[in-house]
Amino acid sequence: MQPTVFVPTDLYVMLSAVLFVMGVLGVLIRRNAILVFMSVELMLNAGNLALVAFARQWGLANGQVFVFFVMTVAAAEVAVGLALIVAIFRTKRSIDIDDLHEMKG
Amino acid sequence: MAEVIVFLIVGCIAIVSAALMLISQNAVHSALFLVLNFACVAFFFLTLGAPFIALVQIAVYAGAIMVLFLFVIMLLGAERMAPGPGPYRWLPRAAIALGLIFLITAGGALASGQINLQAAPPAMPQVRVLHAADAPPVDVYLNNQLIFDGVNFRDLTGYSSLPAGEYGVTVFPAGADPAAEAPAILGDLILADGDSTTLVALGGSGLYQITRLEDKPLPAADEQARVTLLNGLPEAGPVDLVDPGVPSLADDSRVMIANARFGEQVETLLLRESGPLTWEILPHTEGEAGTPAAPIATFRDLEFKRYTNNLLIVAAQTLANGQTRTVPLVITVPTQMPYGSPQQIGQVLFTQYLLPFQLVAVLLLVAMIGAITLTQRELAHERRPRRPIVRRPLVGPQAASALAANAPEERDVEALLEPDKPASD
Repeated sequence: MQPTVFVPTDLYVMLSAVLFVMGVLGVLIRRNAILVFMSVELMLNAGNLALVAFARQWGLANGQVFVFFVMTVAAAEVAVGLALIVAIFRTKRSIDIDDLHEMKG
Repeated sequence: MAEVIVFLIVGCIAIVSAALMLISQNAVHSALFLVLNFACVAFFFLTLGAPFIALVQIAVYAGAIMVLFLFVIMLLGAERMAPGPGPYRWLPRAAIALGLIFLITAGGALASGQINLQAAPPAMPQVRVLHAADAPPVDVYLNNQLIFDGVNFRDLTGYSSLPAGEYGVTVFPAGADPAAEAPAILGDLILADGDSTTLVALGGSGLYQITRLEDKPLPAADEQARVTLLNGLPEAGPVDLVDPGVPSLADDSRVMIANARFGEQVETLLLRESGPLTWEILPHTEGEAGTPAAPIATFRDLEFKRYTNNLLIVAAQTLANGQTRTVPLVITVPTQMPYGSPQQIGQVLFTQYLLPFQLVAVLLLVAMIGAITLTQRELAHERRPRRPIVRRPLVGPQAASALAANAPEERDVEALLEPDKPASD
């Protein structure tokens, strides 16, 4: 009803896709475990952006509630992940992912 | 147009800051670029009509989680991955430039009011049906398509989402063939995006009609219950809604809703307090009436909670023995909170997503315990020399003899403790 022009949802989804791909690149390229975790956060955020954009598209609040859940899961993941990094650093004196090859089959 | 330009600028800042995060050699710089990226995403949340999520993003993501990252980076001394200054010496200047552009763009866009933050998004129109007519069950067709099947008297169907447009409404007795029989009720309906509509079938003794009610949201700041009266008595003429608790001399405050014609949705009443109420329906009287008319019906124990929209329909019902009685039909819907507001998110979270919410809480608890266990076990391994346990002197005759036997040992323990103290640190 209102004449206001919205930024189309496509643009938001495209931006979200770009950010997600950059997060994937970070996970694949960087060898620092902390940087890998930050890239995972970037991917989660790109997902959140798409969720909120779709929530506006459909006019439902469910997408925003999902963002809430994603944030909670991200917080849990960061807590455990950083504890793992600290534990690995204590034993190996390094957080380089390439140094962690004990689990190789 | 301004919104698209602001989107492009802030989107570029988000992408560039993500790229700089990836190529930066210093982990602290990476973390700060990620904070800038999160701030850009929070700005997008704001423009997408999610102010609550935007603030949670700033507080939880850019605040708590990034502080945790920085803390671990500093704790491990892992900020430099390669020795030397690194190939990108222009990174700090790029960071400052990006941050300034973001602040100016976002701040300017928000301050100038060019960006509509309150705009509710258009949703598919929703329709539901309430059967309040003194008639057997009905089927409701929209554009000759059966939408609501076998609606009984007093039944309120759930919402059905339909594309926007113009619809012809036809109502048939349940199970009737729409091609062969004439409809009981005919009507038109125009649905626009964002509408929530209730169709109410009203009437009795051959006089039926369908009335459309808009389910309008109430302003969220209002902690009141809204009551709307709909007169569904075709024979009674205009009616008044009267609170009999008020003495009849004070006529002005006694009549709560006046002159409700048949099929008319009359006046909205805002109630602050919502105890059990007793209301009467009287025939409408103009001005100073000598003798108050006998009530058509008395409704007892009506309750209205705050933050609700209530529709009170006065309907006639013919019982099996041929008698007619007047019954109140109350539809209560929770007030529709503004899109993206904390109230709306809380409403959805605690009605539709209560179980996932609890599961996520358990997950967080497990993560917390897991983090403690992971780091604590490492600490326990590293502490090798154990301190000797110092016993306190025992009391009593048996203890005295035991103490005398162990006296030289205790002195040894104390002598051991003294040099051990500085060594353990």
